[in-house]
Amino acid sequence: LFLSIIINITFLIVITYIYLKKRLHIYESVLIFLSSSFIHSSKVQTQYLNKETLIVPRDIALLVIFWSLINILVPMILIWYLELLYWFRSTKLKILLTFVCVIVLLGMEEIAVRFNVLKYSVRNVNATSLYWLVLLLGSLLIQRLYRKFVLKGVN
Amino acid sequence: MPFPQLFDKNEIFFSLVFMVLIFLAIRLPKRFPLSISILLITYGAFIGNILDTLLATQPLDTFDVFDSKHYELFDLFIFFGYGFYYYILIYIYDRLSIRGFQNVHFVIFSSAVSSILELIMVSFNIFTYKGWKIYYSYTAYLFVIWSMVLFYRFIVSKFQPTKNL
Repeated sequence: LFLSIIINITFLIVITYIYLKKRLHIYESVLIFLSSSFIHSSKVQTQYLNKETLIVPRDIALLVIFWSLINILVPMILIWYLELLYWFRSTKLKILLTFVCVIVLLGMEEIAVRFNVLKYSVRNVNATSLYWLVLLLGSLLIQRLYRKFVLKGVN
Repeated sequence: MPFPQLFDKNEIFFSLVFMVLIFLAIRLPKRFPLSISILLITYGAFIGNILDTLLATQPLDTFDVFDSKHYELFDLFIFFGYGFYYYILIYIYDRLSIRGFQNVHFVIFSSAVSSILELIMVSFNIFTYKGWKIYYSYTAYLFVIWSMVLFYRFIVSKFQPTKNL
């Protein structure tokens, strides 16, 4: 059940994004997707290979969800975050959006924990919140830096 | 992310290969805008990361990368190594102006070259197979290089003016 819910949500997020009138250049969206997936995957590997604070599920359905979360869902949320950031004009709304996204990512992680997709031996919610915040702001920084290359390379 | 405990022949060999790849990527005459080059290198690192993580960790765990089971700094470098290597492959692809059925020849030939290079890496203990076979790698390279070509053609097709950014 959880697998089908996750697949449907992922599908919905991707399809909605494709048909959305976008503020980001396609190259920026692709770069954010690839880089955030890479960074998050490295962080998760550090957690389960080095610190052993995270246990990878053995069940194949849970494993599919585990990798979908890391490689598709999290990068797509980051792309949505950046897209919405350009939609909002006011700084207050942008800050609010950042915190809403942190809550969404934390909530997604919490659901994954409830359904045994993520099993932590040690879990620090404050550290995780900080990590999501850094990831969101880091993706914004990458996008801002890359935009210069896109403009320079194309015009 | 820890440094390797012992900086032996596999780390030395990989460092040399890594430097050669970076040198080539920088010194080759410019063919792509920097925005496309960054995307190609990132895509190579991304696909290498996904496949290595799926194949080399639990539950499959079919090979080890470097000496330790832990995720070391050199494991991170190897993904960038993939990125630069696939970038050079696409550079050659673009330089040869490959079209039509030549695409198939290119993918088959470059997968064979990649497999031979992997065997050299295995002889230097950069990869240690645990039930993995080189012909599995060949199949993986067919997929990766084909996806790399498709990705390259996709991003080139989206190359357009950006006045409204």
